[in-house]
Amino acid sequence: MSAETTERTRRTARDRRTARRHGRPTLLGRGAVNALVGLSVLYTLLPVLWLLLASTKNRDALFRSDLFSSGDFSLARNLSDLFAMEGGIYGRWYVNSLLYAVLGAAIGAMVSVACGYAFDKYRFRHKEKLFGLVLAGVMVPPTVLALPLYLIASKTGLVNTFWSVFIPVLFNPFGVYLGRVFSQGYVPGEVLEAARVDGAGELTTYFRVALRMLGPGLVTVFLFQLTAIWNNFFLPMVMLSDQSLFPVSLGLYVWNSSAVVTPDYYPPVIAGSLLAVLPLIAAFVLLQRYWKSGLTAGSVK
Amino acid sequence: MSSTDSTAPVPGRPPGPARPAAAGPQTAHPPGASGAVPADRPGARTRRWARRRRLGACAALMGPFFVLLVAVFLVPVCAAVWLSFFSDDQPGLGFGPERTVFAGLRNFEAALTDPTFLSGLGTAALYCVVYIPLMVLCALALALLLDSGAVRLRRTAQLSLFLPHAVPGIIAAIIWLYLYTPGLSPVIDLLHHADVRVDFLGVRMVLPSIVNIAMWSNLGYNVVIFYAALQAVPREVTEAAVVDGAGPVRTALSVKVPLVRGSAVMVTMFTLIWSLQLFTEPMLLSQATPVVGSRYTPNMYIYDAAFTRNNYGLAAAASVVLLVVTIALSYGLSRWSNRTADTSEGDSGER
Amino acid sequence: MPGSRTRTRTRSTRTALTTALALAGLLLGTACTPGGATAESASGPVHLTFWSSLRGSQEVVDAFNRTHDDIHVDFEQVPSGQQGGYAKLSNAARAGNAPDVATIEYPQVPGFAIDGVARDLTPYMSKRLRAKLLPQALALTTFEGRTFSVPQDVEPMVFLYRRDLFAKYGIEVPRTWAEFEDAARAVKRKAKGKRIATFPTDGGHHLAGFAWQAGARWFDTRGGRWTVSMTDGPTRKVTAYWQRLIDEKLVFLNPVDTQAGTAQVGRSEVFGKLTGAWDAGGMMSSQPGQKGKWGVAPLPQWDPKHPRVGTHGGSTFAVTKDSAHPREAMEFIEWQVSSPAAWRARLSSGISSQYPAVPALLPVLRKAMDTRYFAGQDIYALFDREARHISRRWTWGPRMTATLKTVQDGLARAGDGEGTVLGAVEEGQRSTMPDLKSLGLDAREGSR
Repeated sequence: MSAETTERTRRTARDRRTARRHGRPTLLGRGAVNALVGLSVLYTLLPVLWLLLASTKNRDALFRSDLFSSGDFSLARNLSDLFAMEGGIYGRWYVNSLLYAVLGAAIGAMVSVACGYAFDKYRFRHKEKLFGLVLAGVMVPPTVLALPLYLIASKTGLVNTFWSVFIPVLFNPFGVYLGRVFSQGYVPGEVLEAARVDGAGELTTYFRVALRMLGPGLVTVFLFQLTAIWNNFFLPMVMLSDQSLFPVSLGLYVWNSSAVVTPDYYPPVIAGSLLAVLPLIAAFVLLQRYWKSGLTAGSVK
Repeated sequence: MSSTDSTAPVPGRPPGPARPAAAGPQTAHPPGASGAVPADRPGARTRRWARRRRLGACAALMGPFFVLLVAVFLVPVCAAVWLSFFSDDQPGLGFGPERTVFAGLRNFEAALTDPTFLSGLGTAALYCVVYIPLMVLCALALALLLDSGAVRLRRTAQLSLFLPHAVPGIIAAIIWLYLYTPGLSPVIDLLHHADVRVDFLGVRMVLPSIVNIAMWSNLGYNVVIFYAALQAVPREVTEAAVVDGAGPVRTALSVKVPLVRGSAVMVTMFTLIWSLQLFTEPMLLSQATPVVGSRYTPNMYIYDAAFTRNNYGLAAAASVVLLVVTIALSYGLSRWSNRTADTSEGDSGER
Repeated sequence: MPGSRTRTRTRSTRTALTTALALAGLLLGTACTPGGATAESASGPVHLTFWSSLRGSQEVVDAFNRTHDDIHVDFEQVPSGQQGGYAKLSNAARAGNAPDVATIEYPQVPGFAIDGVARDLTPYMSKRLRAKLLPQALALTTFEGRTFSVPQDVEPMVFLYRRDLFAKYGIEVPRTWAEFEDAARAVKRKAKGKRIATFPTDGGHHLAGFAWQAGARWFDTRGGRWTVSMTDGPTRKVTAYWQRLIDEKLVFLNPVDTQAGTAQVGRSEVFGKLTGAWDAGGMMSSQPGQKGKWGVAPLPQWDPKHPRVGTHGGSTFAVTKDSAHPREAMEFIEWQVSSPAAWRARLSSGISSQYPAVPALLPVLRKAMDTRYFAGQDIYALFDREARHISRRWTWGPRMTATLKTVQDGLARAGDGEGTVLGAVEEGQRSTMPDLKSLGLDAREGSR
């Protein structure tokens, strides 16, 4: 896995380019292939494009569904409406989401990668059994845990607080798995040996030397956890009743329920959705290299 | 994988727990040696001291994660199981004081005789039967197309396909809900002009509509996984096929596909796990169409049992049932795939 | 896996786990906060918290605080029950920070009483208050001789109808269900695109009200156990009746508590609406343009010689188990439901046509009502007559929100052409039984 795998992947990719010259599809076949892929790309892109266009429309234009008329461009208006709605609570939700997601993913990634590193570099009895427990955590979907978590939280008075959502989202067993894989790939044992010979402490070595090498892996874990927390819906829905603690996802859900009765809510829900999507799309486009390596590490044997 | 609720991103993961540990230079040590890492300096006392220090460091690095594991994983799982066997009982009409009693299997019996829970399980099963094969086939087909070398702008295409994964599940559901809503939707408008009338939120169409949302959200993600696996197929193998005179389609189907079997199993497994948890999309659609009731899927049933009916024992029992079904199905799937892999020689994997 | 942990001899594992457990304990333990609803200082007024989604509650609380020195009420506006208000109350009760006084609608009273959220108020209720309350209303909040909440208003079902449309097409306002069916046919025949009324697919409460009127007993507490018979004879009579009207397209079949439902009334597509008394005021605010065109008639009867009605809507006030001041809470409630000043304060916030659970207050409400909307009709006289016809056979069940929701899911499917009204009620019963059983209640299905 890991280092060799990545290297091998890179190599095979290069070699295959030459190999392909022999087995190239015919011109007709190529047309069909490109058409199919093009259709799929349209399928994935058009709804996002609709969101973009719809967020520039006022309510009436929205219901006329003439998205391409340039007559009434109300994006600015929609955005100012969005932030004025119900006393500007959307801004609050956005900040909450950022707090839950950025802070949660940062801490969660640190915790998971450190654990994964320890799994890779230290040996102790029953290590693999313990690791099996971690993997069991991957297999059990968090939605199943939400209800018992709620009951525990309400017994401890944590329910309907920031912590009731923040603490559970830190738990990222898959990050431990990735951390272990990355540690195998990126942190050679000799480096640690050298540090030990120099008399550096174990933790110092980790934070000064290993963590730097684990950087790309850390970013990958962070990015995936960021997405997961930003997407999180079930847990906040179970835990929170105070609207000022809501993340964007839950807030938009509540507004959407009003939109069904009061169509005035449609433009803010659409504009709010657009704003909520932007940071993640930006992160994924900018950090392409990292998440691809993360997916590869997880999937390639 | 079905987007929304995971705290772990769960891309593909090898099925067997022990596998990832097998490789790597650090584990080449005699088995059973409790203690730490390589370093064999002379001097037993120093060594013991070093070992202790290392174990301390190891504990410090693992500690925070295991605190979380206990607090938000083990404790809740145990709590769910515990709760499902107990009940705050109120005899008679129930207006007297309540007492906690061991309820045995009563909560399970109640859940499993509740027609709404059973129909929720049925919905989830139907959803899996439609969604999983569709997802695996489409994702694999697209990955093969991308891998065929015939596609222009491969990177851009891949990124575009992946894009919906960056759209939170609830927002994907909102976008599609509006695209399903007459008056708002340009799609319905277009169909209307073509004299086609579809009620995407009607009794018959609502499940396909939900499948579509999930497809849209997760297709690109799985394409990337398959594509990565295909990239790792050794070139000698494909070359040999070409030399044997196989066309691109035959090469793809009879050579490449068997080689990415492992990835296909993983994609299937995670799609299955997340499909059984179906919640976000139907929950949102239930705001717009009465056809999606408040107990449409098992997870919605659990939510309803806990928060509409204040029946935590019942909700816990339903959670346990769902958990057991999930584990049983994914275990069965991995057993089945291992068995068939053992008998088929075409598998590439180092297992 | 747990076995491997306990037997482990490795220090790091053990240390890690011990630390983990210790920290988890810390995490869970430290956050423990004592429950309790109100803080109290040695001197000064007793503070009560009060949750309600009822309009005008702030005005009522302000008026109360102005006139009372010993009790101070802190009011919080909460979402209506179905919009999350009930979930909020249950969650708060579970976490030990429920308000002293909460607002609960009739169908939910037994549920909150069984869950131990609503306290038994029998020891705190004065004889004077008991005597003032409409007996039928009080009976709905009293179980096994114990009263769990105090009715604020009770809403007999009536037929709100368009005087102008009935006159224009020369159709008599129906007094019996048979006449209603004939009138429905006449409307369909004479008025293109219009119907006499809408059968609401979101109307679990409506259907319950119709069954109630017909003498159904969906839930029965006699014999110290819950007997559930949602498909008893009277209910079957009602569902068969409406199924016929639906099948012959004599009524619209769609949700009413939505924008589309309101718009349907606004476009004058329906001749009337079968609903609770409170909805007369609702009509005044949602359709101001139809002023003078509406009238109120009694709900059509099965047997006009023995008139009976069910209710639709109405609220009660409960004191929660967590409350440290049940006596003071009861004083606030009594003032709220039975004093003219409280009702005047409530009515100052806007139009209302509630029928008070204390009928003696009728003059206060009558004075505030602008009857021009109903062409000068004394609607309160009619409400008063109808309220006394509320049938006493009815009891709400222990999980009414869920039961009615399942019924509505069935009605919605029927609205889409899949299923029947009777099927919806059957589904309601089938899905309710497992709930009651797993709660440990003594429950059984009644004969049909």
